[in-house]
Amino acid sequence: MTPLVKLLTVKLVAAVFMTVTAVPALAQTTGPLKIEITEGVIEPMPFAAPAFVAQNSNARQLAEDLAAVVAADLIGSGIFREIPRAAHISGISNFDAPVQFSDWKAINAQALVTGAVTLRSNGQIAVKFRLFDVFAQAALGEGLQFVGTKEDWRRMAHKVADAVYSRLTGETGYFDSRVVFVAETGPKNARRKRLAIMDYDGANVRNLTDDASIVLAPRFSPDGNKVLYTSYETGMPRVFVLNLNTMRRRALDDLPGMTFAPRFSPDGKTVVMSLSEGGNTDIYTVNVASGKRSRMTSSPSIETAPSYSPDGRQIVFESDRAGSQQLYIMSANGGEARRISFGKGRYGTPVWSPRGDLVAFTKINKGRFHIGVMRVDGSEERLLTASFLDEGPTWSPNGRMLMFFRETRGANGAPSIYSVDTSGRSLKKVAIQGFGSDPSWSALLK
Amino acid sequence: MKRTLIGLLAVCVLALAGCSTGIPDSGANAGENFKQDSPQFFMASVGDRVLFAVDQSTLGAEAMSILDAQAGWMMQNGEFSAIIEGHADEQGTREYNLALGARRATAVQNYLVSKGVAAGRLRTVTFGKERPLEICSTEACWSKNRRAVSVVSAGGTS
Amino acid sequence: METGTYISGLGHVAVVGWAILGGAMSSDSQPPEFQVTDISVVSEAAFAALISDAPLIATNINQPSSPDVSEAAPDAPKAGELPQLSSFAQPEAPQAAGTSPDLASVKDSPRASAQTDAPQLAEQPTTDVQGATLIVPTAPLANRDRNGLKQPDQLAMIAPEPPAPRVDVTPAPKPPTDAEKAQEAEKATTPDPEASKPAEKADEKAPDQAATEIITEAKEQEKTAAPVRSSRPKGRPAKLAENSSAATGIEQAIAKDQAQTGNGAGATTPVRASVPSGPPLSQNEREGLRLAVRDCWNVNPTSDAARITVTIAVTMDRSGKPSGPVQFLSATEGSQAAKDSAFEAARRAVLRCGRTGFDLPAEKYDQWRDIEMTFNPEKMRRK
Repeated sequence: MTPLVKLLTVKLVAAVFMTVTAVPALAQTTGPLKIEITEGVIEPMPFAAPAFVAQNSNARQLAEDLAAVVAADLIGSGIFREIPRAAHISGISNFDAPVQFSDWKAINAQALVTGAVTLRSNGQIAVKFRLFDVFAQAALGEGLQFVGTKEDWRRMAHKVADAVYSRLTGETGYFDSRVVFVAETGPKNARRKRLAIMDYDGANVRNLTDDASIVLAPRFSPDGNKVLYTSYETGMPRVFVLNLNTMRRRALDDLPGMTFAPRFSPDGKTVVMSLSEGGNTDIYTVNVASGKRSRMTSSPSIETAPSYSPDGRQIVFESDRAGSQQLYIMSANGGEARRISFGKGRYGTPVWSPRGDLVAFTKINKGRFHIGVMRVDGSEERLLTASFLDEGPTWSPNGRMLMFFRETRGANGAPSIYSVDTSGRSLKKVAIQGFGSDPSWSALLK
Repeated sequence: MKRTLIGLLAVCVLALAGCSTGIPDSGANAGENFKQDSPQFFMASVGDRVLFAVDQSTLGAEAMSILDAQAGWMMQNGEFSAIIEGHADEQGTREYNLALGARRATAVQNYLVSKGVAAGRLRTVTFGKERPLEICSTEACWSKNRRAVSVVSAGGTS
Repeated sequence: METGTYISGLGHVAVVGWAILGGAMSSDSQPPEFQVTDISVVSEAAFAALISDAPLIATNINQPSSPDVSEAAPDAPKAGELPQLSSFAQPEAPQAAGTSPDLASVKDSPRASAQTDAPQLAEQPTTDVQGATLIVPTAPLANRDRNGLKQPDQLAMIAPEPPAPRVDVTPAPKPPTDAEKAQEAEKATTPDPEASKPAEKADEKAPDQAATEIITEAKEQEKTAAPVRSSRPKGRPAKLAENSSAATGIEQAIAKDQAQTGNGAGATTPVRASVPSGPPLSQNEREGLRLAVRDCWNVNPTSDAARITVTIAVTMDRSGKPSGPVQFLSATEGSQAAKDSAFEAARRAVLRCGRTGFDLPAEKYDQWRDIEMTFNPEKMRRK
C-alpha cells in the first residue's frame, strides 16, 4: 500500500461519507425509483487477455506473444489490470465460438479480449480480435483485423491494444507509437550520447546517430518523419534536423551563437528554439523551409524550453525574468507573456499537452525534482513524481501519459526513462537496455 | 613562483590516483616545469577556471583574481586564443543549465575583455550539465562543477 | 586551487580540439538504417481471402495448452449460431445458448470467491463474521472442481491482487522489476489536503451488512491490502437490515424462490404498474442501494467519460437482480465515444454489484422494480 493509494482512498471514503449525509432522499411516489450515484471507486479495471487462437500450428508462439503485449499495453496505462492467465477457468480455443461469459465473470474479468492469428507462408501475419463486456455479455464495438509482416507483430498487438483502450475509455490510445531518446553509455563524467528510437514500450531500440559528439533532447516532428535535436558536432550546441526516411541531417539554420531546446510547431513548418548569444538566451522561431527567423523574446533574462500549444497560437516557455525559473505563456507571435507558475520552487521544461488542457513541467523544490502538470491558467498544479532528479516530460499522443527521465544520485548515477499517467497512479520504468534520457513521444503511427 | 608551481604539480600528481576524469594527462607527467607560454602553464600556474555560486553567474573576488592572472597571461601571449566553457551542476534542467553555462562563460569573457584582452581572441561555449568534472551528488562536487574554464590554444578561436 | 583541475584542463584542450577538428568531420559516418513499415487494415472480404489462402489446420488440433479448454468445449453452441466478424455486435443467440451456465455463474461465482476470502474476513475484526458464513457454501467449490479449476489457481489469482488502484505491483509480467516499481511507486506523490481525515466515521455510519455484500475482486483488494478501504460503508445499516429481514424473511424467501424457479419469465418481463403501490423506500434503503452500486462503479478520473453524467434504466426481478438489458436513457454533453464509455461503466456497476441481487425490501418490490440511476462523476473527476 503506497502513500498515494492511501491518500486517494481516504479522500474517497471521506467524500462518500459526506455525500451520503448531505443528499436527502426525496419522497418517491410515482414512476421508477430514481437514484443518483455521485461516488464510485478509482481502480484499474480487471480484464482478461487469454492467448490468441493460433489458426495454424506455427503461429502458436505468436498467439501467446500477441496477447501478452496487448495485456502489457493495457496494464501500463494504469487504467486496467490483468487477471493472470493462471486464474483463467478456460481459454479461447475457437475465435468464433460464443464466449462462455460465466467463466470470465467467475474470475471477475470485466473485459475480455480475444484474438486469432494466422501465419501465412509468405511471412505475413493476419491478426483479428474482439472485445467483450463480460457482465453485459456483449461485444463492444467492432472487431478489427490487421495484416502485416511478421516483424511487425508487436505493432499489430499495439494496434489491438489501442482499439481496446479506445473502446473502453472512449479516447484514442497511444500504444502504436515510438519514442526518440538519448541512449547513454560510459561513466558520468565522460558520458557518450547518441540518438536512438524505440517502440513506446522500449522494444525495438535502434540507434539513429553515432556517439562521436554530444547530442541532446531530440523532438519528433508532428508527422513523425523528422527529429530535431541539439548536437555538439561543430563544437558548440546547435540545432539539427534529422530526416528519418533518408537519415540525412543538417543544421537547421546558420545563426551565430548557440542554439538548443527546439520544438516543431503543430503544422511542422516552424521550429521554436533558444538562441544564446552574448550570454543571453532568448526564444526565436525559424521557418523550416526558408530558414527565416523571428525573435520572440528580448530580455536580459534566460528564456528557453519553448513549446507550442496544439493550435499553434501560443507558446509556453520558461524564464527567470522574475528572479527564478518560472513558466510563462505568450502569443506565438511574441509579445507580452503571462506567468502561470506560482508555487514554491523553480519550474522548467514546460510541454503543452496535445489535448490542450494541461502543461507538464519539471519542478525543482528543496533539492527534489518532480514531474507535474497544471492547467494552462496555472491552476490545479499536481505533482506526479518525486526523486533526486526527474526531468523532461513528454506527452503521449492522447495526452493521458507522460514519459520523462529519472537520474539516480551519486557517482554511479545514471538516467532511465519512466512513464506515468496524469493522475500519478501508474509510474513505470520503460524497459530498455542501458541508460536513456530526453524522451520525445511521437504521434500515433498511421 | 617556482615553488608554487612545484607545489601545485605535487598536488596534481597526488590527485592522479583519484582523478576520475578519464582524460589523458599529458601535462602532469611531463615534468615539473612548463614553458611559460604553454597552455599547460596557463592551466597549472595561472589557473584556468573560476567557480560560481548556485544559479549565479556573477564573479566573486577569488574568481576575479584568477581572471586577472588569465588576462595578464593572455596579454603576454598574444598568439593564444581561448574558448571559455561554461558549466553547471546537475541540479537543474538541461536547457536552463545550457543557458546558465552560457551566462557564466560570457561573464568570464566580458571580464577578460574589460582587462584588455581582445574580444576576437575569446569565444564562449556552454556545456550545461553535460560535462561534470566531479561526479558525486553533493555540494562538494557540485561546487566544482559550477565553473567556467578558459581553454587556451595557439591560433584563432574557430 | 583544486586538484584534478589541471589534468582535466588538458583533457579539455584535447576534447575541444578534437571536437572542432575531428568531431565535426563525423557527418559522413553512417547511422544504421531505419525503416518504418506500414500495417494495413484490411476489409472483411480481403481478410477472408487471406485467411482462406493460408493452410488452415482444424482448430481442435490447435488446442492451446490450457487443459480447461476441452472442459469448456462441449458447452459451445453450434457453428451456425456464431456471430460474423463484420457484424460484430454479439447477437442474442450466443447469450441464449449460454443462459444456463450463466445463471449458474451468477449464483456461484461470487460465492466461489468468497470462499477464499473467508480467512481474511475472519482476520478483520471490524468485518461482520456473519457475512462470511452466509456467503460461503460448499457447493460452488464442487462446481469449480468440475470445471477443472484447481484451488491453488484460485488462490494464486486472489492472493497477489495489488492494492487498488495501483498497477505497478500487479503480479503478472515482470517479477524482477516489481520491487523496483513498488519502490518507485513510493515516490509518486499527490498532495491531498484531505489525506488526514480519518476513515472511522464512515465505518460508524454504516457497518457492514451481510446480505448486501457482494464479494468482488475490488473488495478483495480492500480487505487484503487497504485497511482504510475495508472500513468503508457497505450495504445498509445493520439495524435496518435486521428489521427488514425479521419482518419479511419469509416473503423474501418466497420471492427469491419464485425468481429462481418457474417464474423466471415473469420476473424478466414484469407487468409494469404505472403507479407503484405500497410505502416508498426509506432513506436508508435507498442509500443502501446507492452504496452497493457505488462499490462497482469504477471511474477513470482523468478521462473524458468522467465529465459525463449518464442516466440508465434497469428493471429488477424480485430477488433484486437486474433482469433484461440495462438501458441508456440520457447523457450530458460529450463525444459519442465518451458517452458510450460512461454508459458502459454505469452498466457494469449495476450488473456486477447486482449479480447476487441488491438488498431491497421484497414487500416494496413495486417501488424498486424499475429504477433509474444517474451516475454523476463530478466529484470523482480529475481533469
